[in-house]
Amino acid sequence: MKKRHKYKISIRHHSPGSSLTKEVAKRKKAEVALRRLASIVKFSNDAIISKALDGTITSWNYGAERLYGYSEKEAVGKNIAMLLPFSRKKETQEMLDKICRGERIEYFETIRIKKDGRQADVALTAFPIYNSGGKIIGTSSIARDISAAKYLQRLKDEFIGTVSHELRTPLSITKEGISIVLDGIAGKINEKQNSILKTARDNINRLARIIDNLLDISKIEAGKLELQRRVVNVNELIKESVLPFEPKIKTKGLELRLSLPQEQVSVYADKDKIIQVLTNLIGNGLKFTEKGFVEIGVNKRDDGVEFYVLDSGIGISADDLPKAFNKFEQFGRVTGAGGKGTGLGLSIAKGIIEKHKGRIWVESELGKGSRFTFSLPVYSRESLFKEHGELIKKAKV
Amino acid sequence: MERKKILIVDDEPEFVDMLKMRLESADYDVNTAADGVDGLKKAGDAKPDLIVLDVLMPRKDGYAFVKEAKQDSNLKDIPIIILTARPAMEDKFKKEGVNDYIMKPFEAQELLKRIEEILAG
Repeated sequence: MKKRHKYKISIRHHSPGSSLTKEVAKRKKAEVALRRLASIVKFSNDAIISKALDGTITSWNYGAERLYGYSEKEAVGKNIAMLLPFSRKKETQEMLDKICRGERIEYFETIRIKKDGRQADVALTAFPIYNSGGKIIGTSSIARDISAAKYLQRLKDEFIGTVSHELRTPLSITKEGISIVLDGIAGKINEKQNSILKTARDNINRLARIIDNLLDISKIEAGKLELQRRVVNVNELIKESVLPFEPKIKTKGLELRLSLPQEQVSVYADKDKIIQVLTNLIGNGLKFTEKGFVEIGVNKRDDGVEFYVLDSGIGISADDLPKAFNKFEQFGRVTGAGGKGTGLGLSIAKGIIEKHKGRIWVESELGKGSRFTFSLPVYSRESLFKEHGELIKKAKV
Repeated sequence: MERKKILIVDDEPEFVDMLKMRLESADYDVNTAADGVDGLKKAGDAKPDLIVLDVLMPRKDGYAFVKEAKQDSNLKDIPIIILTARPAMEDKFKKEGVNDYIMKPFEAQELLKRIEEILAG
């Protein structure tokens, strides 16, 4: 008897709707997508590296080869520690701990060592790798080479320092030269010579102020404004700022009003810089007020100490108000000697106050005067220790 | 009364000329040096009552000068006024024992006043 097939093997073509066809198609699609992703990772310019939890490198893309100099063959299987400078070992451990808790590291600037021993400034993003069960089995990082940006930053900083010195030198020579002649040290001078030289000296001083302004704004823009903070008495700040303006206020026939707190109020601030801000605000108040008063006051609030300069001057229009603290903005006609100035004063004031972690703002109405206010936050011992503690940590690394 | 001696250490010859003129007119005996190396030598030889010191100089800058001067038993008690320090450097210099600092360009009267105060002790 002929044996029939024991096993029925279906060789007929599957219809497109069958579950096996669907399964194969799905897998093919997934493979294509995976290959595309793998390609993107592999050829990315950024260094994309994945590691096991113990630091063993499990994948290494072209970007990593370019950045660090090790080929994929040389890197995979080795430990990531080979890239770390000694000073950053602790920092990396802390990062790893964070990632193992499921956290991401976003844009973190640090240093790595290349195969040739040279240093690379990099910006890292790192995150955990999960298995299908949701357990963290490794870490992945994307590093961008920021050496060029860092180099530019260093150049910028040196530039500010160099320019400062280069400008101050001829300025000081000229100023002293004029002063020496004016003071009669180089011989007696007549009335006319005296008058001319006085004008020259005033304008040298003006030039010096403009240069200072430009340097200040450069520092603020570069984030390089340094504060020398101390505990300063508020009344002292106000009195010192107001003093040079008293004669001018009198000459203009304006009333000077001071509204100072009864109790001793102190702020933790850079005395010279706050005086610089107050000088600018009071100067503006005076400049734009022809009759009435200029009032300077301090109010202690819960969240800080508020300083204000109020005037009864020409005020600022609603259109101009939002631009008040912009660079090079100047509103209204300015009469008298001393000229226009740079239009940087308020912008610098804003930079200074914000560096102090304070706020500065203006309220004004055209024809009704203006009120410029800035607040400095209250400092408790705790917040001081916290802030300086972080600075010390950064310095140690 | 003997005139007090001041040593100016600064690498800008024109500035040094001006300052020398100014200090001499205020009745000081003035010596000058163009950099830190020359400055230390002249300080050792002339034993000035006060040194006016620029920060940015070739061969040896103001900061190196101060550190060395303060280590030298001959020089460590001579008061020093620093010129052109950036405010950030002020603390650094104060720590090394500098007496005062003044930014260029300055008012001559202000510098003279400070010199007087330091010499008065």
